[in-house]
Amino acid sequence: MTAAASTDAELIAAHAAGDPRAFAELVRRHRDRMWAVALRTLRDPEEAADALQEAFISAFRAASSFRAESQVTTWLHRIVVNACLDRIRRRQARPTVPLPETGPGEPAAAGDAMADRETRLVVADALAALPEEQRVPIVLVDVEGYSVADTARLLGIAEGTVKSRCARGRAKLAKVLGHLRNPSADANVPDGAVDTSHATRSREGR
Amino acid sequence: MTGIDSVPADGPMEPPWPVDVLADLHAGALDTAVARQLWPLVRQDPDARSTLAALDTTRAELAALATSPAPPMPAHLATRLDAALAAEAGARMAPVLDLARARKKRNQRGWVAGVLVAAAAAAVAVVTIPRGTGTSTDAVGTPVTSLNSATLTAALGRSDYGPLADPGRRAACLAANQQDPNQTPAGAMQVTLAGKPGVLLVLTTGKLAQYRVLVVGPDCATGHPDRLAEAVIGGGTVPTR
Repeated sequence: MTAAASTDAELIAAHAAGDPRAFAELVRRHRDRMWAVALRTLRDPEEAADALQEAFISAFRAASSFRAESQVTTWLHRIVVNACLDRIRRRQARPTVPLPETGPGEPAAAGDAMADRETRLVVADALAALPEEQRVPIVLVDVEGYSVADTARLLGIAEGTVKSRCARGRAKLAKVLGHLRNPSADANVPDGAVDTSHATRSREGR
Repeated sequence: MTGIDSVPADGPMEPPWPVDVLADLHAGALDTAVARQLWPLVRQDPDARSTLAALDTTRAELAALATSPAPPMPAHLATRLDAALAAEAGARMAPVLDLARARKKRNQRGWVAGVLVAAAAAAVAVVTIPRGTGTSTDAVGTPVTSLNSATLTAALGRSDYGPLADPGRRAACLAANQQDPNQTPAGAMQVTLAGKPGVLLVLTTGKLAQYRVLVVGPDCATGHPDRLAEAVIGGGTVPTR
């Protein structure tokens, strides 16, 4: 049965063999981390929850096809990212909805130093304010650690496009986060690329 | 606009460079030949170096997001996810009853009643508590004949508390039923059960994908549980195929 000490790979194997508890344990272990991935990618909590549900159900059904040479976390992560990107493709024509500053039921992580937490919130907030075409490549490359080549394949765009979208997004973030201190450099950011000199917490529509 | 467009490949490349050009250089988005020319110049310019450092800092902060503690999935969304996975598990597995445990528990409390068996999915045991008086039917509530995973799913995420809309009254009712008065139910809807009006509450049990479904009458209050039915649904009560 499902021992708490089982490895992820053992849980997958147990699930594939019919153990009804194994997958639940796997979800329990990874849900919050995958939730963070989905929320960063999609911004909207409802959408992120739906994507996560689709992803976990896909994983539930596909577990027998899991191959032990890949890490379970890598495998799950990829399924979650795919589910998120699917939703982005499907909703592309829809306008964005402004998000509340913090959602309900999101207590601060325990044991988190206040300064770190505030930095994380500010960075996460600034990231969420980027237009989607910049936010998603940055989430994949800079946060989740996918290579530019992998990101290009996931998004179906050229590697050069991934790089330049990341570059644009990072330039905005560096400014919003107060890392760019040179006013003349600020002035050189072209119109339309950023408009945040006094509105660091504004959210952009697309 | 691409980064490559913003740098004249054959023009003089002198500071100050636009932030976007430096960001492109930093990201490897510039044409290789342009980048090769630009890097030595940029390295000699303090402002450009400070911009590149700002971009490095930004990337480091982004990378830290992946490992820093993040807020957990909100409880109401996690509950929905668990329910969906329980339904998926229910579709995969045949139902089973955990009657002995439920019966024992109820008997200890002195309530004995009929046990309804839900034929569908991951449904489990239901204990109804007959009430001696009152047969009035309130049309407000959704008619419910048994508590099963379909009932559970119908109520999840809803906040239709009816007579228990007041948080204080709800807390008192939960306490009267030996439940944590401070919890927010994962779902609530007004129902009629066997002709009696009530409020169906979905409570988490602390076990993944397992819920306590509690149906109470409108008079539920401190010292008066007014319980119409209760069931534990899902969470390890399904066997292998």
